[in-house]
Amino acid sequence: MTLNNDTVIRKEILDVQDRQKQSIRSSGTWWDGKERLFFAYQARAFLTGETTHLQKSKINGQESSRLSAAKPVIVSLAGNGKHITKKTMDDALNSGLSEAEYVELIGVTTRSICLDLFNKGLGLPYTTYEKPESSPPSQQLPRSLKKEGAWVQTVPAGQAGDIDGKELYGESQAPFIFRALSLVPEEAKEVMAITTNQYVPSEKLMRLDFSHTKEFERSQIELVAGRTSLLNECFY
Amino acid sequence: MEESELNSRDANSKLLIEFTDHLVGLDSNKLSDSRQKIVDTLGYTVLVEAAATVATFSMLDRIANATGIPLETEMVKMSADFRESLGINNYYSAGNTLKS
Repeated sequence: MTLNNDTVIRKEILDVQDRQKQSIRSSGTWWDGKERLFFAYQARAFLTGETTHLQKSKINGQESSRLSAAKPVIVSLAGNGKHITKKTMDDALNSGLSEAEYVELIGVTTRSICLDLFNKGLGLPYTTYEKPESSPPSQQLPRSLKKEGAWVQTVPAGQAGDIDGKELYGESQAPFIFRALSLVPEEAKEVMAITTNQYVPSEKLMRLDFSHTKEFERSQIELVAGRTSLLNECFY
Repeated sequence: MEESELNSRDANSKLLIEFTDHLVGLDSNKLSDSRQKIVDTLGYTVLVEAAATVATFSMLDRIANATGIPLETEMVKMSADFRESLGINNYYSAGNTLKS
């Protein structure tokens, strides 16, 4: 079966995935482009067995202690959503990663898994990333962080989120899934962009007749979404 | 709704569930078959949207499970009647919301 990307895949999906390709190879807030690309290729290797780019992505032929600490997290994420436990995070932090480094690692890895699964679903080749950026990470923490009930600190929505919250979520009462990675705001922004364009924009979540195309109705979207979350054993 | 339409919807739902199972389970051989069935029965657009939905929720589920976010209080109440029967309360990640 051949699929013609340009005529079949919605422009919004193509655009948001191009944006991810650029973002994943770029330096972030706590990891540089080479390290972020290592997460993506490592996840692909565990998820699909595809190892073509993995060797090339090793930094100077060997892994830093930070990357060694990141690896078990990537394995848990790639294995299946249900294999992730609090111990996964605790072990990473005990191995020297900061909470912010852990959050960015989760964001980059899961976004790369999203791209790979999409292509796998359509029978297309996996994403090819351009050369990674090696500029130093910006290391900027948001100021309005709170413990809202997750394992990691988050930027609240509404007044409690102050300027950081307003910049991230606008006036919307962002659900927890959009706040989950807000310790690293750029990661939260990318997750919201993917969700908006590939699933449903947050402001239309409760409009049960909304879908991006008339061919795939909202009830079908929710059937596939619910089945995926059941297989990943996601309570949320 | 006519019975024939109900049957057709039921059959289409089964195709979508099968595709989701094979994509999440990364079963390449079965995935190829279910992909073709969706194209033949529902069309390319549905295949693309279904793949996008599985990919997006595979990302969101992992983020939720890896950050320990609890479910919003309203949703906890709204889902109480079916969570137990579906076994959802037994997931490891249920502990993030249903703490003693």
